[in-house]
Amino acid sequence: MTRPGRYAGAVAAVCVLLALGYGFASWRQAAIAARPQLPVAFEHLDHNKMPCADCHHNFVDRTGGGACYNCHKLTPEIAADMEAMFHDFCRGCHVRTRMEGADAGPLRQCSLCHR
Amino acid sequence: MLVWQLPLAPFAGLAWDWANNLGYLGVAIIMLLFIYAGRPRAFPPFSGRFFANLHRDLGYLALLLVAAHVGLLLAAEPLLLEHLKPSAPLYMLAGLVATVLLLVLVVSSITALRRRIWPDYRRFRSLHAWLAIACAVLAGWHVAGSHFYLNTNFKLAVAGTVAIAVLAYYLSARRGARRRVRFVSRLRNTAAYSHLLSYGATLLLVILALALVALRSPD
Repeated sequence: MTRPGRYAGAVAAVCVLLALGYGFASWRQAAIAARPQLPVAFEHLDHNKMPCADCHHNFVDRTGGGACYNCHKLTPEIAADMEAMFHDFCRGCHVRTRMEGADAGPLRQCSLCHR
Repeated sequence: MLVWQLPLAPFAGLAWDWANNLGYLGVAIIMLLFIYAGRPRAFPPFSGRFFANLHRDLGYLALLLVAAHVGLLLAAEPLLLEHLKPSAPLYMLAGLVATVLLLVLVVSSITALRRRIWPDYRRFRSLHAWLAIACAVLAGWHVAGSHFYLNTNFKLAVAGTVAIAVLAYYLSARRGARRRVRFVSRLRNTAAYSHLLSYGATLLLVILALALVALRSPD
């Protein structure tokens, strides 16, 4: 293959990859929006040492009302980050607390929270 | 493996911790495949066949360990199936694609199949190399994204540096192999040592990983 032919082939391959990436991202976004939220077991009494506003931030920053679901699942702009955000927030706190030697909730086992 | 787990992540259950150790070991072997890439090397001074066998054995072992990692986790946590769907986090999809690529790499390397698909060996080798690099990058993304072992920035930086060094070494060795062949006096009849070395060492590490996890269990 000639050198211009190789460049053209490389440019075409990059374009195809970008198109595939865009298509996949759109498809994934639709799949996340359509996926029902998994049930989460949460006991307020187990978390009464935590500052309320750590979770209920909307009462402080006035970004909305109601349950977490109302914004984090139903707002398309932030729905895609919901899982990572809540895992980091809840599990991250449990892991840190356990590493400091104190008792904490579930660390990894999905079924201990999602039941 | 021992050093890697410091500072220790809290114990998360026997199946969880052992399965993650197996997955990590699988990724370590994938990186080792770039160092022992099938071509004879100066060390150990064994026959050329030893290196071809070692690469094949390590490939089988990597697939076996990754299959055990996935199978054990799915058996312990069926809810993890959610992480194999398109809506899963990207680092999980990276792990899924890396697993599929590893399967393709191993199956397409079976001699009878390879000769049927690629009569020209050089074409196979080139595609195999690029798919392997993609597999390693995606596997690294999966390990880093899951934050289980790479749970500090320091470990992330060290792992990234080691991975880049291994891939750079592999690419430079590929170029070098075209230019020069260095003479090394080699021991004969050493091809079978590859099985002993790869399977033996891996079995030992798998048992060691299980023992470490069991020792950390509060029960």
